[in-house]
Amino acid sequence: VQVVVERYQKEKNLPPLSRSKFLVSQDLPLSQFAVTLRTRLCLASSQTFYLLVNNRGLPNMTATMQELYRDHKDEDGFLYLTYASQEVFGSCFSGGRSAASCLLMPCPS
Amino acid sequence: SVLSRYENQITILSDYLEEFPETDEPVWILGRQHHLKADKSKLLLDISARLWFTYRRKFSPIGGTGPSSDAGWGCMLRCGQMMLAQALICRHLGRDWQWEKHKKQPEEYHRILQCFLDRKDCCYSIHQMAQMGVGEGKSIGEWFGPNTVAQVLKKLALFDEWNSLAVYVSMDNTVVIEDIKKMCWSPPQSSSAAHSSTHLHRSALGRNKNAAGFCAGWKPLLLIIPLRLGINHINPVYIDAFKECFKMPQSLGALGGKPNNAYYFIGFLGNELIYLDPHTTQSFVDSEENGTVDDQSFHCQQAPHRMKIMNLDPSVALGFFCKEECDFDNWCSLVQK
Repeated sequence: VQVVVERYQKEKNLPPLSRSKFLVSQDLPLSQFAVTLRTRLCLASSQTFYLLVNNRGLPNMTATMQELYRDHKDEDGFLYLTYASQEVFGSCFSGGRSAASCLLMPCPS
Repeated sequence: SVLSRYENQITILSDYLEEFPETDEPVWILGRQHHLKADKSKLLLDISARLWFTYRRKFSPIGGTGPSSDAGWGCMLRCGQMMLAQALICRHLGRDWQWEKHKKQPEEYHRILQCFLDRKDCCYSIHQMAQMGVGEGKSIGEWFGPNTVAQVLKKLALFDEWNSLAVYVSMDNTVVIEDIKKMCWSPPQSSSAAHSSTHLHRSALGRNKNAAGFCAGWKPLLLIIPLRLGINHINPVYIDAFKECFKMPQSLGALGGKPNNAYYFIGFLGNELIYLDPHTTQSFVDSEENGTVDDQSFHCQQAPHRMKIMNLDPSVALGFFCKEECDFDNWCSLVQK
């Protein structure tokens, strides 16, 4: 199935993907696809990485790509997934800094 | 000057304090149901019994030369402390334990409070949490998200021999029952750290029960589930399920907030969430010579804050506490429904 994976536009922790269009095997579970994307992004296992369908919901990680495609594909024939981490909290007027250092995390090879 | 600007904000915030409305709807607080008309005072007692951690100033500088106040940056860390403190209360005193002003409290209570004093030698102090955050890519004074706090608590719990908690932080929205059972049955000392979530395909809430029968006994489980319930705003389809979590007897509430402000959510009334707010700056309190702590400033004795659930930021972390294995089995069956 044809999948487009995009970074949430306000995402600050996670790096961008080098490419966004993927051809994925039908019976691959979403959880495995998520692992593939995590590896591409060099994420530590303790970092959050959420895939949302059509910018709305968290799909069941056990669903296969085919099931997701069947239920959520766009008119243009692609399945759209957005990835994001979590927001951080603090008070802006006290000069807190938001996170950028995660980008520098070395890739475990 | 930063501080004084900040204190202006506090007075604005305290204007939000509102009495509860007259209603027949039940209030849910951490797995307990209350009726406003019948026993409002019981509800308020239940809320004031929770340990309330806020910004503090005038503690010893973090790392020797760092900040001596966490105003403006520590709110999510304080919320994490509150959730963990609630777990320790459930462990040692029970969910139904009540706090009363000026009353002599059990020894365990003071011991719990000791764990959270703003001193570098207390195991869950702001010092320990901020410094453990460095390993998660957060420099001291940087803002945390719910997952980062959960990761920090998980690491700090390994050094806490008194409580020997098993802390499980779910990744990718998935709770692996087998992993939890293994972790809680593993003998103490053998560190349950470095718990990677690689076998994802044995996914959530399945029927895999495989209790390895160690004689060491079940370690009390703190289960934290970081989630993202939408992209910009919370997706309305999750609201009922989110509220349902506060009804579960294992509930420790949720970490989250609205943009920039972290709150510790402990319950709801209708479409409003009830929370403890860390955004008040108090002075550092140390323990007395006899090991007790003047605890007045560690309990919120006003009517608590409320906010519309639709204003919730989608980044949250749910917390649950399972003292015994049967509590966890019960949790699994509740979640499956």
